[in-house]
Formats: sequence, C-alpha cells, structure tokens
Amino acid sequence: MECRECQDRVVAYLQKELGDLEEKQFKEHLKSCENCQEILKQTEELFSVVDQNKEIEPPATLKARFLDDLNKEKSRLNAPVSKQVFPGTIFYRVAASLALLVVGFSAGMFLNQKETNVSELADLKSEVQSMKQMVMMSMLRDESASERIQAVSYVEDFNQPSQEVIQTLFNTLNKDESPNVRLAAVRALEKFSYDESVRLMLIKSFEFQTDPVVQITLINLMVELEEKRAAMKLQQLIDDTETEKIVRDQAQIGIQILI
Amino acid sequence: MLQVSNDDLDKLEPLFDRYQKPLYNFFLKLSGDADASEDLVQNLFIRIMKYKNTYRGDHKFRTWIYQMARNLFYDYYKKEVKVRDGFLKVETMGDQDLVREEDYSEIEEREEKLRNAMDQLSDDKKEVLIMSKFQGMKYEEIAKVTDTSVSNVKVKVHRAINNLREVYFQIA
Repeated sequence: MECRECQDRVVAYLQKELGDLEEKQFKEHLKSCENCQEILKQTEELFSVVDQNKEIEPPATLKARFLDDLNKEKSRLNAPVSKQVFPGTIFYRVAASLALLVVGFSAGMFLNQKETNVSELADLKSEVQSMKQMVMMSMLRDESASERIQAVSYVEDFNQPSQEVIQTLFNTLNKDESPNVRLAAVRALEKFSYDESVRLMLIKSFEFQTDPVVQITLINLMVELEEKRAAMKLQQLIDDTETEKIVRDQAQIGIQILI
Repeated sequence: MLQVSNDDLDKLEPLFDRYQKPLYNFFLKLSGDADASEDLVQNLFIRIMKYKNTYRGDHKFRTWIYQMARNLFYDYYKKEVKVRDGFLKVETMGDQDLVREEDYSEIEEREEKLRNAMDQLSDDKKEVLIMSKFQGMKYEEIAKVTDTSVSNVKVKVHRAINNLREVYFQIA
C-alpha cells in the first residue's frame, strides 16, 4: 500500500471500517512507515480528547422559556380561531403597508412630476419614520433576544427619534433580561448622547445594571463623554461589595480620568 | 413522537428534556455562542410546535429534529450574522478571561484547544463531525439529516477528522 493511501485509511482503521484485506495491507505498511505511525498516534490522541469532551448543561432558563412557549401554544390552540386571518408577524404587516405607501407615492411622483412639492416629501418622510418606530417597538416585545437586538439596531436609522423611542430604549436598557440586548441599547443610546436628558438617564441607568459587561460598557461610555457627573455613580459601584472585581477596577480607572 | 403530531402538546415536554442538551451542544459547537444557542433551541421547539403536523413518522424523530435544527441554524446565520458580530466578542471575551485567572486545569486547556481547532473548520465539516464524533450518530442517519449519500458522509467525516487533527496539532 502506498503511503498516501495509508494516510487516508488511518481514520477508517481506527473506526474499524476497513475490510480484512485492506486492514492487513494497512498494518503491513504501517510497520515500515514512521510518518503514518505518527499520524495514527495523533489521530488516536485526538479521538481520546473528543471522547472525553463533556456536553455542557444548557442553562435552566432554557427549560423555563420552553414551558412558557408551550403554555402559550396551548392557550392559542384552545382559543377560538378568529385572529389567524392574517398570518405573519406585526413586522411583516407593517412592512407591507410601508411598501404600499412607497409604491403609491413613487407612482404619484411619476405621474405628475412637476407638481411635487417639498412639504409632501417631508410628510412622507415623517410617516416612514413613525412606521419604523412602530416596527421597532413591537419587535422589542418579542421573546427572542436576537429579535430584540435587531429591533434596537433599527434605531440607527432614526435621525431624530421621538421621546417615546428614547424612553423605550431606556426601558430596554434598564429592564431587559438579556445583557446582550441591554448592551445593544447602550450602543444605540450612545448616538443620542448629545442630548442632555439622554445623558442624565444614562448616568441614572447605573442603578439598574448588574451584568459586568454592561457595567463596563457604561463606564467606558462615561469616560468617552467626559461625563464628570457620573463619578458619584462610579464611586458607588466601587463601594458596593456585590460589584465584580473587574468592574470595580474599571470604575477606579474611570474616576481617575474623570476627576 | 406521532403522538405529538396529533396535537397532544404534553408529550412534547419529555422530548424537550431528552433533546435539549444534545441540541444545545450541537448549536454551541457550531456557533461558539452560548446565548445564540439558547435562542436557537427555544426557536427550534417553537417550530416543532408549529410544524408538528408535518412530521410523518417515516424517519426517526431525532433525524427530523436535526434536519430542522440545521435549517434553523443556517437561516439564522444568513439573517443575524451582521448584527451578531459586534456583540459576540465582548461576551465571550469577558467569560473566558474570568476563567483564565482562576484555576486553569489541564482538561480545560485541552477543551479550549479542541474548541479553537473546531473553530478553524468550515461549517459543513463541523456539522458532520459534531453529529458523528460528538453525538454518536451513524453515517446512515447523518446522510438522512444532511440529505446526501452514506458514502458521501463517510468521506466528509474522514476529511473533517484529518483536518481537525492537522489544526489541533498545529495549535499545540
């Protein structure tokens, strides 16, 4: 047997997939070939590492989420079938109406190009904006964290979000169960930190955070914004015995820069 | 499982108990992201509730559920990959640093080396490797899940193992 063929058969040999004759030829070649012996040794070691690999226990929240979904499905099946006329999520429904609006408007533009006036365009823009806000807010009520992260990321398209959107983002930042979604909210709010009220609410938000990654992100943001008023919150983090060490260290560094 | 497809949702709970761990680990090894894996298992079972009537009992339940798991994973990646990128790193970085500071045993070191080596493989190599070597599925079943021939799966598994061996011993 050629060396190349032999190398290709190492895995098959260890998994006992070779025929009698093939196995005999394989062993024959192996005796005289150090290279193949080395490959066999490595593969054996790899197999033992793989065999010893333990599966990770899923977090307990997973089962809770499943039971929650199951109960919802049960009550949906027991409820009268009236609501199911229009399938799909709110997202698609709003997206469809948005598409209609745009098509209709462009058709209008096309038909009487000369009469287009600026205020009409502005109206449409603000309408699109408010629809986007609606989509975002309904998606934030979704159960899946990734869906909510996506909702938060829509804010990047808003130039001047309404007070309502800002408030919703802060609700997410302070109350969402997933640290990743909270993190996305910090990123989104960062964009509007030119606004004094956003800054004040960001500072206040320290009181609601327990996840170290979110805490550190907020600390870094305060330093970036040179927000001296946050120094007191950082001090509270340092004094709190519940705070993780890495967070306290970061807060310490933050205070030194700010003061 | 045929009982579940007949609208008896209570039968789903024991199935969840049996499959949540292997499925969670399947997604975890594919994505390397614990939060995403939790979401994916949850969404998978929501899909099972919705589509339970399409299970016809011509495959084993596990085959059917892994077919859906695969589809879900690839859908999710197409849709989420841009949004995910930014957050993923922060999260995994934090956790691993904490572990590193404390006791870092030989087993953990080996596991991390294995994880890193797995990360270097392409998704299609990873998935056959996970099913075959980590979850103990037979070539026949993997062939049904991935909708290809048994001989094709066999070749893929062999290549994936050789590939993993090369990367694993390079990392050393």
